[in-house]
Amino acid sequence: MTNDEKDIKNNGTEAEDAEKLRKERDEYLDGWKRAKADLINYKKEEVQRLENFAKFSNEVLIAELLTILDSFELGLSVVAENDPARKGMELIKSQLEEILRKNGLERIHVKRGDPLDTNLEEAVGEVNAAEPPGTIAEEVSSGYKLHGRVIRPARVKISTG
Amino acid sequence: MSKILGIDLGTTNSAVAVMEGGESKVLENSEGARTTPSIVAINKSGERLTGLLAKRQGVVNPANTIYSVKRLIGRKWSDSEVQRDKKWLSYEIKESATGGVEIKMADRWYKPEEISAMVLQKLKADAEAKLGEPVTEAVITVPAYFDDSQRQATKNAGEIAGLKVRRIINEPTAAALAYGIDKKKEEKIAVYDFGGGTFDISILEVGEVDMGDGKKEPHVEVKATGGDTHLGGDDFDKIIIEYLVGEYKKQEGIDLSKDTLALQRLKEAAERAKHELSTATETEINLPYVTSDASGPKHFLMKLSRAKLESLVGDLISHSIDLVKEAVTSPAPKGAGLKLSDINEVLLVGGQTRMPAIQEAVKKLFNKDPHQGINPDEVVAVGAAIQAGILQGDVKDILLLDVTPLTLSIETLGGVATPMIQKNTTVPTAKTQIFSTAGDNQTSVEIHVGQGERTMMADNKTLARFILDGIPPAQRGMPQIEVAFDIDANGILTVSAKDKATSKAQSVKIEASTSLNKDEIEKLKKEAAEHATEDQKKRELIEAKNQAESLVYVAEKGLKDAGDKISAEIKEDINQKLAKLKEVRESEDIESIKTAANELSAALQKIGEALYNKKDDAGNPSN
Repeated sequence: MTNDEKDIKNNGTEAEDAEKLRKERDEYLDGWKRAKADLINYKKEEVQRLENFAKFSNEVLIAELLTILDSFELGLSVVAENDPARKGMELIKSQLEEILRKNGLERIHVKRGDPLDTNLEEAVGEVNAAEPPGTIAEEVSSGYKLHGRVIRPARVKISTG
Repeated sequence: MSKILGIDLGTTNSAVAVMEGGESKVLENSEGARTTPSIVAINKSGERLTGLLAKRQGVVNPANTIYSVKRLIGRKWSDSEVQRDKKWLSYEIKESATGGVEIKMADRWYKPEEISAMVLQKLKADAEAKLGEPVTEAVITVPAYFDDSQRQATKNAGEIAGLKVRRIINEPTAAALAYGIDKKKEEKIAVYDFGGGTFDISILEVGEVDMGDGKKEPHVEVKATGGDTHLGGDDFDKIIIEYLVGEYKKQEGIDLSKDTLALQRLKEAAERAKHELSTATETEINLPYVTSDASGPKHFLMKLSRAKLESLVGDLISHSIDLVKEAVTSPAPKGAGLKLSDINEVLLVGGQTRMPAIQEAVKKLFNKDPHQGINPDEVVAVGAAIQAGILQGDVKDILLLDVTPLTLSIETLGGVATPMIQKNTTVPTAKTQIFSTAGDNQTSVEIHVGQGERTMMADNKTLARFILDGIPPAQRGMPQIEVAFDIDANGILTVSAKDKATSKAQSVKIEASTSLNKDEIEKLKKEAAEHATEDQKKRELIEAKNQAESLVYVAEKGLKDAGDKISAEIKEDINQKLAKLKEVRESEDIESIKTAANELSAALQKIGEALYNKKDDAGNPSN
């Protein structure tokens, strides 16, 4: 092998080595960038997750308390207007409502005669009523939103006309 | 590269998961739920609804609300299943021109895969919203008993929804993937899947196949399947409600099943009771003002015990167990032709398997604890995501990061080991903290690096000691010594200490701080756990001693600085308390050290008061 040939061979290996190293470098740099980006993204998500967690950490408890609100509504519906016990019950109910409102609970307002909006309401049956067919005739139980998210839809009956 | 979704396209509910950073993650839908009802509808105003929104109007729009389409997909009209389901489905179906099934929704006929595609479209859109990037590929699961035509139709549904279906995998295989037991050799696995509407049992065999070139790949083979396509968790709810209605009728003579609101409340209460009885042994169902009669309002109050619930649904459970026995022991092709004792692993899938009686029954049958730990509603989607990750190359993560097996600490005043890097921290990592001197005019500090979970450095393993000197003389606590711990990706720990005033630094390199052998780690951890209380007491004592010492220092300095500005009375009082603290501070009695320290601390306040009063006197001569 002449010296020239040796040089060419050496140059060839060096070039190959350089290419290999360049490839490796690119791969590592890419991995590093990805890892860094993953961390930054994770941090961003974590902040959002924590915010949501703080907002909705009470959701289970509040959803359970809704059954008490339902019972109050049903209870009040059978107590006569002039019953002396009524005022007290109403006050306890509004106490509870106020606490829940402060914690982000909002009642869904249902209007008779409106078409069913499944974003907010759930149909549980049909009833013969004066409202136009296919529209809401009756609210069976109240629906609620917590910080704008429906945690229980309003249960309604739909008019058959 | 965009992510590949793992989709569990269920009969009643569907779920989606993806791999993120090597871990599977279930994605919430736009309503904030982790599962989506597999329901599609067209409402009265011609609007198409999917998922929960479709479910909410199903009662008043039964003919145009399509559910359980998985029971029809890829089937022939003449299939006995289709003929049976035809009778109870609330929407209209007919035979298609090619002998398949077509479904009527509003005024158009759809193929089952078109309906499934609508569900998949919602899952895709919600996943994209959650991930913040477009998704074009998916792995979808199907029951192990699905034939080629059902699998093809499911694949088509994915394509219609705009998803390239990279693979269709069996639901039980996905569950095995989720639990990571696909890698085991020559094992037989039973997957007991009790969902909302269907019950499936699958017997799998995991092994390796030779790929020809000497390479072996794990392979999962379905040996047998069985089940009941009309048995599910919903049947449990129905039985509980029927029981409650029946009991109330016996007690009060009123039939609640005719009252929409009462039934709605009862349904919710029954579901809640079922969930509660998974952990509690008794629950109370309390529905005030559930109804009323001539005598006034009536309430519903009843206790339901776990034993009662189990006796109510006992037949359903034993029916499922019979089906399992059949699938395992019947000769092929009906079953796997195995003995029950041949089964190596048991997996539970589906929400209903949370019921303790079911877990017990399965355990008793196989004489083996079933695998648990992954949410049974999500385990199939998780497995699909893992398969997606394998296709994507995510799971074969080449960059494996090590963790520190034990806490790395530095010794501080009183021989306490102060943690710098906690155990289980992923490396590479670094931590810097400023320390100071414990004595006046101290010109050198010893950095003693140790490893272990014990409170006192003497009980931990010493990794290195070195001295940083040349610190300019100063009062204790004044010099700032910056100590840095840095572990690189190879587990090499570099500890350096630098005096911030002079920038004089010292450092030491410790090889293999993360590569203790397993026994050593376990031994150190065990020791730490055994001595936890004792160590805690020791630490408290040393903290009290350290506090006492610094208080003695402050008191002596205070007395000296105040000089004649305070009365002899105060001085005497402080001196007395100082002497008392000095006397007890070397004892082991934490209470008397604390008491003496508190007394001295209170006495010291008088110096401050006296000095302020003096100041006031001086500034206000009229007083």
